[in-house]
Amino acid sequence: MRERAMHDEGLGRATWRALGTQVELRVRDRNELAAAEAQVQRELDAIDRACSRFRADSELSRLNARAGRPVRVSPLLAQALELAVDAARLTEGDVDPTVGRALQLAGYDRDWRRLAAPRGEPQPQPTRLALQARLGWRTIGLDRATCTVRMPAGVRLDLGATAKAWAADRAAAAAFAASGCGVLVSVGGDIATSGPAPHGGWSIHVTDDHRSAPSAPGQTIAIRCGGLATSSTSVRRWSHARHTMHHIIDPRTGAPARGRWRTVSVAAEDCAQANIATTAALVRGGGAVDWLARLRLPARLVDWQGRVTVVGDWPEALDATAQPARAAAR
Amino acid sequence: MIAASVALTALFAEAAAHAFPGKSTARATSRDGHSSTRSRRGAGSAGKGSSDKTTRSLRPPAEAPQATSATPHPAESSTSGRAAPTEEPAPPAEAAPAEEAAREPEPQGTYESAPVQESPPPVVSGGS
Repeated sequence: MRERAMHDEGLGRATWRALGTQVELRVRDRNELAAAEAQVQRELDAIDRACSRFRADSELSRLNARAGRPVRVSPLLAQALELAVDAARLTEGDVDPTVGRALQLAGYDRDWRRLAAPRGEPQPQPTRLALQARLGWRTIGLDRATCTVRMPAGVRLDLGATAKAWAADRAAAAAFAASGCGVLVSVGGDIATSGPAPHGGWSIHVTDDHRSAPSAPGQTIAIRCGGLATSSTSVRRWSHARHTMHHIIDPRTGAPARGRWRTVSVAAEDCAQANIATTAALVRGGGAVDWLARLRLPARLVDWQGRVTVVGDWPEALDATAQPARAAAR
Repeated sequence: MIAASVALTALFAEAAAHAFPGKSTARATSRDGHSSTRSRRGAGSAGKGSSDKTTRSLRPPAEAPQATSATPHPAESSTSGRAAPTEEPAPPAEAAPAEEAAREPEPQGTYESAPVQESPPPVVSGGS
């Protein structure tokens, strides 16, 4: 069901589902809502056709099916793959697009909503997952001039850690170009902005689950530019082979990450960068705070006991009695 | 056997990396995640504006997020003192995926009414 709402400050809002999740569009000028919405839909449709692992007719599915042979892909998928390899390089392999096979072996071989309900906490996985996952991102060969991709037989790519956030960035840029007014695009809680922000900024509530109400435990902040992403291992969980799984794979083990943090939020220059950082932080666990601090990325990390640590310029809650631990920049 | 498999895999990865000289996008990275290589944009990009750039480093936003006057959720608890961590309750048990699928139908292509409201609620950013 699509929803639209108009607000007295001139803001317009629309929500719908795409890429298997909830999409929200906000525009500063409600008269431009339809024009912006059309652009967002167009961008998300294009990303879905190129990058979805769950569509048999997507370019990515065809590429995965032809692993071991050189494959020509569209410029759009080539760019998505370049971003995914960049993510792996920038995180020293913590975010690795070659975890597609590990996700399949963990049972994530269809839309998450069609998987079995989770049972308890994630468990260590059989060795075969680790061995399948070790081929790694360095085995991907991408020739941008010819849009040709080569990867070893057996490799299955998953662009979940980058494509959705990148789609938000592209959609926000396209919507701003079409409407001329400031826009915010949220794709499953991965948030991109483009153009001038409203007075006071875009209001964002960070919490464990993007499907939560704005009153859920968390923190409300405002951003004026760039992107913001939140990743959590407390959501998108399912049961497979009597184990509870989740979607953040540690490429070094091939199993769901079992780090210190349950939820990480990061603000960055754009949403793709933010989501790369949140995913890597969940995989890094205890080392994430120093890493984020070195990068000067504002971040908020919540551990499994519910304790909050903030990094860099992440704002503290205005309630003086609820101050999180602040990690010093190194 | 595991050690042998890992060694063979590493060997294979190394061989694959050398199989396409000058083609692979893999690059060495410094410890802080900043690349020492120069930006390199490919032809035929379908993107627009800043979203068309490839990500060569992880950078903070031009303006840091700001605190808002929104009151923290009453379920949050904390201990006193700046260094004491805020505590959030554990997330509620997640609904079975099948239940969520039933709760959130696919788009029907129709719009609900568009009433004018005073101010929009915050956008929620959470795991997905």
